[in-house]
Amino acid sequence: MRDQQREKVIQSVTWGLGGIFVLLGFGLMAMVLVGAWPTLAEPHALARLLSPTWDPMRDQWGLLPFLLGTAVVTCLALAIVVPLALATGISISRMLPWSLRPQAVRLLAALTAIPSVVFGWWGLETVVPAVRILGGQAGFSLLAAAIVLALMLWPTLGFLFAEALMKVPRSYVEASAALGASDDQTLVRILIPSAWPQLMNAFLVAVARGLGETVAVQMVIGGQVAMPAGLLSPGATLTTQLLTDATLFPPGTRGHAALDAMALALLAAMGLLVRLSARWQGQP
Amino acid sequence: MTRGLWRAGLVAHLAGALLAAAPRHEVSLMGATSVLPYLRAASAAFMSAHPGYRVTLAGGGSVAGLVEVSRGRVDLAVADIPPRSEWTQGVQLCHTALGRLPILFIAHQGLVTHLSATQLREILVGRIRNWSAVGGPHERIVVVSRSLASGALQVVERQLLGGQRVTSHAIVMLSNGAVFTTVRETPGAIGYVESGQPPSGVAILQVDQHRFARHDPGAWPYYAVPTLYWRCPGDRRVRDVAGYLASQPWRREFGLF
Repeated sequence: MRDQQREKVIQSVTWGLGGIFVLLGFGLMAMVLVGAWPTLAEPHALARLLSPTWDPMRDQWGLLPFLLGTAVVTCLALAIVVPLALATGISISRMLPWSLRPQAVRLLAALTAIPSVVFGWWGLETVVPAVRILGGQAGFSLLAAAIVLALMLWPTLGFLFAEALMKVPRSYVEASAALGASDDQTLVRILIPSAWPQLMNAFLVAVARGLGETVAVQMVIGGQVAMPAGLLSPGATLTTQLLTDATLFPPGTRGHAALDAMALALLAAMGLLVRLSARWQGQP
Repeated sequence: MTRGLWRAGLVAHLAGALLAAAPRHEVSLMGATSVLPYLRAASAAFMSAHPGYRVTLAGGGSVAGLVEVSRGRVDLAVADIPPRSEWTQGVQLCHTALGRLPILFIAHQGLVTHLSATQLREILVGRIRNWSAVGGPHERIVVVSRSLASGALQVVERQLLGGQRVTSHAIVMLSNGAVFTTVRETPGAIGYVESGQPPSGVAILQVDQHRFARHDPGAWPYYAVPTLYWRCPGDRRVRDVAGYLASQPWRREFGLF
């Protein structure tokens, strides 16, 4: 009887906490949507938001430079980090002796805990000057931001790739070897296809982290609000501009609504990633 | 029994000590980061001269300070820009100025040491883009500026640029110190910092006939006026702190004159 009561209490607490979590999530989305509504409800809202000029003092609220900055930095970072992380995952799951694999995974897991501000600081000290020397410009740039972001994502993505590849049943690999397949053939035709849903999920986690990263990117991107002229040009992302202007616009102002629209764009991108992730896992 | 009495005595003693140490008057202050070094020193001096007061300081920038004081979340704001109604939401704020804080124009070393106000304006708005156009080497100009929440930016745009905007191609830094470091490290860079003490490692630009000199800061024409704001009329503890902070003669040591 007492066990049943305890079970009930535990169940109620679990449901209650779950409910609070759902409420918080929906509450956040509702708050951002309501906050952004004055901007979204304006005539030609989409055209205004997608214009290339951000000048709040002149009532110009174009988010295109930040959308472009976000897309370029994230894509470039992923282009740099995916091969590196895949190589790391394959090395750990296939090439390291069995006895060393747990330590290697633990090391990667520890590296994922490095705060992003440390990567930003390191980027400021090394990547920005390096890009300045190579590119002959200021160094603060989309390229510097992408490099810092890529190095920040490397341990996380490498860890997730390694975990995904290690989950492929050993019998698959042994069967492939028994049929005379080489290591490379086993990797390309058996391991990667078998782990594909998990690899894609790991990739989407990296995309989400890349989209949402703020501090490390802010420290090296330059914060330029004009459309970036190239990879060596300074720029800004949605998150860095939110950080830069957050104190300028109190709630209820036109500027705050524009910042809410930025947050909404980020939430929409994250929502899309979750949807894609569900699709890769075969969920409806 | 004796042990119980000892324990009760100890607890009473500790509680008494805690109560005696607890400040009776707390005053919170938030706003422009450019004068925080002075405010830190001055509030420490105030607290040691006025036992029972505790002054807490936070940065966040001029606009954040004005917003928070208008909403009653802090007692005092320090800002180097005048309040706007969208920030204060119509709340009436009393104020007292801390003094003038020079805004110095700085450039990476080896470029130029002197510019006319017109040249400086054309550079900052992005119409002149190479140092060779103003007598410097053939090097691209990199403008380093502050975010819109910065009082220094607004003073520069009002006093020097006549209402024009700093180029949207400028690199934007979130603090005075970051502007200084970036200008020092970046070839071709020019920027501005709020400081009464000329920073080393960069060229302090002479503008027209004006050269900044520590012994005669009044001759320098570009400056912000950091000001303390509080909700009118404000209680006595807030007015006491504001009055003290705005009247210390040694604030010149921190560049306020």
